[in-house]
Amino acid sequence: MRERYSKNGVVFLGVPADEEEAPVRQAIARLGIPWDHLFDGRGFEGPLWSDFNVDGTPSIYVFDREGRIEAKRTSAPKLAEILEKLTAK
Amino acid sequence: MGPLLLALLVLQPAPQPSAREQYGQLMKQAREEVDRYAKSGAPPGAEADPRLQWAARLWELRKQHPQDPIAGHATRESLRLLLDAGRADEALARIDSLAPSDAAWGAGILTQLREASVQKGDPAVFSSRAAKLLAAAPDAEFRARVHFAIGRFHVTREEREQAEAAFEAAIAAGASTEFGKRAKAEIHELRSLNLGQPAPAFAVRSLAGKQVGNADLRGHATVFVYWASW
Repeated sequence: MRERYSKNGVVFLGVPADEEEAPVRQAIARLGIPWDHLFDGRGFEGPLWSDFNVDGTPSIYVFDREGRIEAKRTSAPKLAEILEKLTAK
Repeated sequence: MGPLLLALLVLQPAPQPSAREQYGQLMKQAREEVDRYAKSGAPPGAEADPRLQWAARLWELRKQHPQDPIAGHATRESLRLLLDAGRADEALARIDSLAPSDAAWGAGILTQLREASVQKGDPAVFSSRAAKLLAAAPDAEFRARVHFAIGRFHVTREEREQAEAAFEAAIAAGASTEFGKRAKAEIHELRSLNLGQPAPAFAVRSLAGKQVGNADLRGHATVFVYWASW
C-alpha cells in the first residue's frame, strides 16, 4: 500500500511508543519498515501522543497537503479508502 | 491410606468457582447463544432472545457478589444485553435501582445510561438521572465522572458548548482524578483536533536525523503510523 501511495506523494512516518531507541531500530530492521520514524524517547507522554490524543497502538493520523487533519485515530483497513480520496483531490 | 481418610477425600465437595470464574463462564455461554440466535435471523428482544435470560443470570451474579469487583462488570454486561435486546425500560429500571455509592458506576454504567437515553429518543432520560447522581455524589471523583459522562453525552449530540461546559465542570470537580484528566483531553479534542484543522504544533527529530515539524507536512499528504516495538 505504501509503495502505491508514495508514488502519489504520500509520506509515511512512524511514531513509536517506545522510550528506548534500540528496540525500535531492531524492530524496524526485523520488520523491514521502509519509512522514517519520529522519535523523542518520551513514549506516551510525548507531544505526538498527548497533543494528538492518541493513547494506544496501533493508530493512524492522516494529514492533507496543507497539513490539516484528514483522519484521526483511524485503522489500517480504513487507510486505503482515505488515501484514495485524498490523492484524487 | 485408611479407608476413612479416603472416604473424606472422595466426599470433599468440589470447590465453588469464584465470582470471576462464574462471570467468565456466563459471558462465554451468553456470547455463544446470542451469536447463534443472531445468525438465525430471529429478531432482537423477542421472548426467545437468549439476551434476556443471560441478562437475568448476570444480574443474579451481581446480587450474589455485591462486594466483588466483578459485580460491576456483571452489571454493565447485563444492561448491555438488555439494551441490545431493545429493552431500554427494563435497563433503566435496573439502573435506577443502583445507589450512587454502588461500585458498578465505575464499570461504565453511565455509558449504558446514555445508550438507553438514545434508544428512548429522549435526552431527559439521561440528563435527569445525571443531575440526581450529581446531587448525591459521594465524592469529588464521582462528581468528575458524572460531569465527564454528561460531556460525552453532549459530544454525541454534537452540542459542543454544553460538552465543553461539562468537561470544564469535571476538571473543576477534580483536575487530578482520572475523569478530570480525560476531560482535559476531550476539551483539547473539541478545540484543536477537529477534521480540517491544522495539525497541532510539533517538532521532533526523526531516526534518520531530520528535524520534522508542521512545515514539513506541507505539499504532500502525510500518514502518521503509531506503533510500538513490543
